[in-house]
Amino acid sequence: MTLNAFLFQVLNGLSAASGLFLIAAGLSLIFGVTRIVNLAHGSLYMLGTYIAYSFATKIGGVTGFWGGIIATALIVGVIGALIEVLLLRRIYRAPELFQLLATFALVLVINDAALWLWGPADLLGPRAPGFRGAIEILGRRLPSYDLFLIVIGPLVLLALHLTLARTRFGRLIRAATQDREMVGALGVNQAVLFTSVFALGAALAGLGGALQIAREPANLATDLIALGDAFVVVVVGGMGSIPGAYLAAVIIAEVKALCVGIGVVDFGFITINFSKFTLVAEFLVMAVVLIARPYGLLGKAQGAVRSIAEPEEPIRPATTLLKVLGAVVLAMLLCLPLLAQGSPYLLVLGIDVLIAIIFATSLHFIMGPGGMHSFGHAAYFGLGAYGAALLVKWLGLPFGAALVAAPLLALGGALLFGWFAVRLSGVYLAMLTLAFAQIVWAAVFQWEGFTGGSNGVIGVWPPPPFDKAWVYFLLTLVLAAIAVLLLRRFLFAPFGYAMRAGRDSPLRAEAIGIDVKRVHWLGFAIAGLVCGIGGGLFAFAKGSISPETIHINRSIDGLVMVLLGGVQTLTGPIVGASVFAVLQDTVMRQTEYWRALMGAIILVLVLAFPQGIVGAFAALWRKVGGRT
Amino acid sequence: MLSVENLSAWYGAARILYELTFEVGRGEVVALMGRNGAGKSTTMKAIMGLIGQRQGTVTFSGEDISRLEPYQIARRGLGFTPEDRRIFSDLTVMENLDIGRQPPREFPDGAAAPSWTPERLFALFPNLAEMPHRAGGRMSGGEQQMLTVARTLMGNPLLVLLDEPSEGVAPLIVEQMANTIIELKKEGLSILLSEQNIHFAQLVSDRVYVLEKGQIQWQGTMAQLSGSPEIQRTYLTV
Amino acid sequence: MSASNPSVLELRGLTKSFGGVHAVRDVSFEIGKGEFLAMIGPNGAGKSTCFNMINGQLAPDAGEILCEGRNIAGLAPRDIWRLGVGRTFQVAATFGSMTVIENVQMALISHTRETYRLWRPAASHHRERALDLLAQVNMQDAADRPSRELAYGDVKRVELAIALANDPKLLLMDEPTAGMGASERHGLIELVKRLVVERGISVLFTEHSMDVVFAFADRIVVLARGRLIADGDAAAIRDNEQVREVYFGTGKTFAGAPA
Repeated sequence: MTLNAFLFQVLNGLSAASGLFLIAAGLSLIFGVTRIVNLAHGSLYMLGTYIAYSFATKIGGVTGFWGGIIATALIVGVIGALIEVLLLRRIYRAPELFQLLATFALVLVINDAALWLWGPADLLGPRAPGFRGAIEILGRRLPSYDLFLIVIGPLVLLALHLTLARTRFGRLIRAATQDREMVGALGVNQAVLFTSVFALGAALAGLGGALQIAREPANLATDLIALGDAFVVVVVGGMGSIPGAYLAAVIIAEVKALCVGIGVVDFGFITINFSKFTLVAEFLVMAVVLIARPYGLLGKAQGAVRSIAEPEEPIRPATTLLKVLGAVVLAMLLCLPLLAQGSPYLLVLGIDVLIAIIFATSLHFIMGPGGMHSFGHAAYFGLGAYGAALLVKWLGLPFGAALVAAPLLALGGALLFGWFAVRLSGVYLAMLTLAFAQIVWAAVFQWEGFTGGSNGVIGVWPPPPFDKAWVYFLLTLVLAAIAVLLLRRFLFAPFGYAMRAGRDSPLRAEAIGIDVKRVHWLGFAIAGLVCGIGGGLFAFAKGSISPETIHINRSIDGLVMVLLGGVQTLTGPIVGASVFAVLQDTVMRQTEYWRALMGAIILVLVLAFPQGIVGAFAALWRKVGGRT
Repeated sequence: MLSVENLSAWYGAARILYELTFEVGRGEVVALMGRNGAGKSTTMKAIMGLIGQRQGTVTFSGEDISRLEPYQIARRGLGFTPEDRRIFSDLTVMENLDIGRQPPREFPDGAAAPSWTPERLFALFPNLAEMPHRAGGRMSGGEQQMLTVARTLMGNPLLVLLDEPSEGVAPLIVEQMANTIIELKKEGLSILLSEQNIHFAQLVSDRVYVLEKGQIQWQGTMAQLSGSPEIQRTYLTV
Repeated sequence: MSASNPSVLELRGLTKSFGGVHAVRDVSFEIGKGEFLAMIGPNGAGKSTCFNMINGQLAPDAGEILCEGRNIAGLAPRDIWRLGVGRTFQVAATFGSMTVIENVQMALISHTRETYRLWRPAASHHRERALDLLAQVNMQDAADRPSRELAYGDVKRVELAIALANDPKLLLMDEPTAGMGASERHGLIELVKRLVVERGISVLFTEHSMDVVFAFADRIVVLARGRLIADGDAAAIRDNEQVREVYFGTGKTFAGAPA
């Protein structure tokens, strides 16, 4: 690449950075004040692209385009305010993970709303009136609209900075970021403050989206892509730091632009197309930054956020009732093949549920007792599934060996990623695990020659007798039962206690000689190993796998399962996984708008059962018991 | 000024306060004393509306405030300084003061309440005047304790709920706090003070309520309490 | 130091600064075996920084921390604990999701290096020994209650039992009576004093309650602006003009005020 070409890519990167910054700044502001990681932020950005498209095409001209962009920002701001008032306001006191769940439900609902309103096709907006041409720079032609975008980013940064530093509204935001209750006790109406911050953040996302329509088409996949980008930018820049968000946006955008600019390079022994590694590069930058500066480039260590979640009860060994109940359920499942003779679908559903149970229980192991909220558990599932499938495909490994190798591969991944992840905590840990999962996903997706790319691997069927559904079901049942009971045993052993000790009070745990990071790292590895069993089983159950296996959606599904059941109970993930898998396999398949339906179900559950299903029953049980 | 009737409060299933009834007159400094866990801080938070589960009536300046939000209560002239200070550590001293700022206020009879500006507060707390642009997080515990009181005064309150101002600070600072309270009383402010340090309470308070296990066990004037080692032994076991 | 009364802990020229500001400057003192030593001083004098260097939370910029002759400066907290230095926190910290006895059992499990065991339930490890430790702090009746339900004073007692689990030579107590009423304060310190005298443990504690300091400390060191300004027994400190000026004030706010 020549110097001129390099500088040209730098300019390209700067114009992309503005869009990244707008969405990340809003996310950061909202998180700062409300302590909610708004997973629907990418959806607000996506709404911005669609709404601005409608203005630009339906009204048209200068008014439709430029007026439309302003109007879009305002409309998305109002939508944000409505979300805050109607939904979030009810769950500020709920545990952090429930808030995540609620905002993820919004992602699903908004996506289907956009599908319903605008249809599935990509929609490309008109070129920007007044900026249709291109300017010759460094011997190349740069669209003048890109120059306009380059200027917008710093302008918004300056405006936000002045607002935060110089105005009372800005001071209130900074104070509320730290202690919102105290701000209220000093006479400030928090409800108004929260709503306005949410509206401001949403408007910024809407503006960011609206500005993109002249460059990229509106697309239904934008929401999660934009969300992923925004996460990376916010975390690299430092949660709550607006200048950090701009700096990070520039770095990320530049790295991506340079990857594209470098293109295909022949190293002699191997040819690498760098333009295909933009996603990997982005998340690698994030991983490197988080390891060097755990709180981001310009971020500060988060002070202890006042926890308002319900404290956890001590764990107790299973009661006789629970043991009997467990034995009965197991016996009934063993008999399922007999019942299912007339309907093979029942066994398929049964296998799905059991695999979901392995997935959710292993996630709960680190999430509940370990306090590590992994947003990338699908990585270990995917490593197991792809590991098994690829070993069969390329090395011709037998079924049994592949099933054993699958969890070992997942273990390897978990040991590697976990080593970094346990150095962080809270939201940062969540984002880093997400980043690692995205790296695995991107590698699988982009390494077509080996993994089959988006087509995946097909024809991975188990040999007889496991090709019969009922035999495979029994195999899955045995492995699931072993996995669940083993993890439970670990939790009651000294190791499980040490994991909880490190979660409850890291300071105290270190002060009695416990190496908290090491304990959590091993916990992470065990969870990865068990999750890999599920992944291996999954590959052979379906006969084929695709990158969907590792997609962020699966990681979120796992969170939903654990939270549905209740993160503070040991049986919760089993119930949650069962309910979720059954819902997904039955109700969801009935409608094109399954996402919205799923979202609605999550919202109802979050608002009705803030402690999860099992948690709610346990609370009810205690209440009834207390009265008698 | 402030009258509390049958105030009860719960944390989850645990009941902390049992039908407390007491009052604070205008210009009076009243001490809530008692052991740790007796319910002093909970009483203050319950008055301020910071506890979800509460019952009873709280009347302030003749108005029932028991159903109001914390910010509405603060806007009626009730100031609160929490025991753990809760300074905004990223904000400077001046910015912390600004967060607490509210318009001037009048007593129910129309008399003007003491009105505070950063300049007046710096005169009251000379230590703060030396560091108007220092971030709250970089101040010592004693300086933070002063800032939290000053921040509350910026709201021009009629009555201040002062939760354990002597806790965890050096004796020299405790003494300055005592002098401050006496100054504020002279200005006409009412103060409800929660305190465990009898020596401190003796210096500043007019009347005392002794709390134990969420109930008022003894009430009387400070003079009565000071004069009776027996009462002190029974309820405070100094 | 003589062989007959060896010092358990010795600080030599301990120094630490944050962003150019000296928090602790050239502080040296030692603690003899079985000694009850109080560290006092104004807020921001460097007491916490000093404490955190001894317990491994911070690494000093310069100076040595000798624990029975071995330099422990810069070691991790868990390694310092293994050398026999127990600690309690200013804001008592226990494992909230565990019962009282499980908290103590956890410390015993770690002490016997059984943390990574995966099979036998933790509840069956060292129960007798844990009950014994709880009995010593009068908390045996609460053994099976969730520790988060305890009153604050009781949490402090449990913390003490945890700290005693590895038979420490030295106990670091950061404001052990913070947040406690007068009677509780004396009760707790009396308990600590009795336990450490029985076992010959040395104690270094910080404290703002002068009543407690004057009544119980064998010796007192005073820090101000990061430097050691006085080191002596209660009478000597009480009469020290400099200490009065920077710390006590006129002494109206506590009992046993300087003469």
